[in-house]
Amino acid sequence: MTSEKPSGVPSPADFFGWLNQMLLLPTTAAAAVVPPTTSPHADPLAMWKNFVGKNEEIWVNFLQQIVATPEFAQAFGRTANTSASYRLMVKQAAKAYLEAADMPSREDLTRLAEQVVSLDAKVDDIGDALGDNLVGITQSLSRVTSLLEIVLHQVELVERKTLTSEELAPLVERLAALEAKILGTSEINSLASRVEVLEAKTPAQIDLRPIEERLAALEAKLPDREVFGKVSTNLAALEGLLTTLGQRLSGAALTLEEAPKSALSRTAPRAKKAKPTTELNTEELG
Amino acid sequence: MTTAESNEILAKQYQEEIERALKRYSRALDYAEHPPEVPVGQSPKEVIWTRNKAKLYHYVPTVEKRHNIPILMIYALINKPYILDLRPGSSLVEYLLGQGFEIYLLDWGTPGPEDRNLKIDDYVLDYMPRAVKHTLLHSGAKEVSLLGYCIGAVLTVTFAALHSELPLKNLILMAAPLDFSEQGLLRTWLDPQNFDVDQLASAYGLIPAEMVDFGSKMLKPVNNFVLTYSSFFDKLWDDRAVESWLSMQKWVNDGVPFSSEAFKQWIKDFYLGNKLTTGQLYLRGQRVNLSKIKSNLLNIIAEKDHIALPSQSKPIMNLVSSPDKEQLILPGGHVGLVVGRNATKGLWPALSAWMSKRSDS
Repeated sequence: MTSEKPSGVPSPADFFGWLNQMLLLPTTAAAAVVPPTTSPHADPLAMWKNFVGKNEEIWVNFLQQIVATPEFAQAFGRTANTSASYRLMVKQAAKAYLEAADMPSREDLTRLAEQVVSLDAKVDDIGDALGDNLVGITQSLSRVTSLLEIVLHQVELVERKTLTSEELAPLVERLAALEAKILGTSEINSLASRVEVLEAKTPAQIDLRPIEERLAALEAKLPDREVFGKVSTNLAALEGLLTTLGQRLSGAALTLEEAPKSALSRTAPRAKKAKPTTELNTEELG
Repeated sequence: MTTAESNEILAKQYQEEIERALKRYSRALDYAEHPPEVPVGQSPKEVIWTRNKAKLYHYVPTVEKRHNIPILMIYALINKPYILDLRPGSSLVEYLLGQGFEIYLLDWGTPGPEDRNLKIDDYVLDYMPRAVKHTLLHSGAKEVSLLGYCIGAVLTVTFAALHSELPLKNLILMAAPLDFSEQGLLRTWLDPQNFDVDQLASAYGLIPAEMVDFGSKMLKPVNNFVLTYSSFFDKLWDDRAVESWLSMQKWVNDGVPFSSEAFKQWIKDFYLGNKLTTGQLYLRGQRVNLSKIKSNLLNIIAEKDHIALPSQSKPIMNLVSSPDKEQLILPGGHVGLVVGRNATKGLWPALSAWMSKRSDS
């Protein structure tokens, strides 16, 4: 029960107590409705409102007590059950009649509508699935768009060619860093110093005098063209003589093979005398 | 005060009363002859996703967005969600939009006979994950806040317990009937000894909105069947009050039927079985374990709620693992929690303040 029983209110089972209360209501209400001298109430509705208001508590408690009784609950339930039974009976009769008349019943139409609802649910499910895919595609496209924007920006920078000093500043810094790195290496420094030493050794500073002297001595030793011609003629003549001598010696040798050994000893010194001339000429040309 | 002055005051009061009475009668006759159409749910919105009858709305921002994490409102399976956006000046949605929140709303729509087999499993495992997904996609946010009202709060809790992998930053439960261990009036009425839920479900297919509405109204019969109308007659001379009353009544009587399978689950597993808070609830074979909830939690309770009793809402605080959790008990009833004077001064600013601190990723 949601409300407590107020004092002076009869128990739900006390029928005569409630009857007495109800019979007394008009008396108590009438006293409340009599217009006070300071506030006239000419309106009958206001009088009714006042009547209800003054007796509200009694009415509320009265009915609250009633609805909270098991008897009321039973009556409430039985009414609902009877209503349901009657409705079921009418429903079944209507269904039988419509079937007999070869007409669709409410049940048939409901089944059809259920199929429509089911289709609607499927369409919604498909829409949802498509939506999920679209979300994924949209996200991918968004990422691609972002990348393209970056590329586009870089292309624009290149196309503009004239870079602002602010845009150049980082590039200049990077170049300076590279330059510093190159110049600072020890290998480069070593190579540079060796090149410098080589550069310092110019031909004027190299001592060529001994070579020049040796060349002059050689030049001095060389005979002039006329002398050289005479020498050449002499050598040709000498060659002729030697050839003749060779032939004669060959002939002599054949004779000697037949002659006594004492004759051979007299011709041998003559062949030895030609040798110094040949040696002299060779030295002069060397 | 002299007698003449006193008489003059009395005469003036008398005249005012007569004028008001005449206006009341005139209006009453007008409304009886031409029942007025009250515009409701007027904040501009767009549909961003649908499934069967369900629609996911995105409300058009009215100011520059101040918070990154959107709010997805999950409404109940009975009545229509425009109670959260009743009319200009009386709209939680409008207020939160003005505070720079991005608002989404999952409207379950009005089920037809073909939806009789829809179960809570379907709502929690098929509809809600997609609604969250579409909210995140549409907003571009990485996290979301869920705000559930009434049965919507029950669905929100169940969903959060089964989807701990989703980026649920904040959970806001408003008037959430979660623990049915206490015997309330409805529990008494729905006792299987008296009430055959299977027969009712089988007979109707969809449980008529009027039947659900009648059950709710019978919890407070005098208020709902008498006092509501007496207060209306009292306010008939006041245009703004009449508009407010009419819009509220439009919502109260604008119910939606309950799918019979979901209704059976609601009665058997929740009201009678109390399976949610005892860890015995299974949806498609998955156990709903509330201790898996780690999101920030705000549990809002209406002090005089007769539909979701405070005692039914409170136990959730000890069942979740959320390190950041808060309970807020506000004056008012089940509906007065979100609309009306109490709401504008209580719920709206409190909710906005709590959310503001937790809606930036």
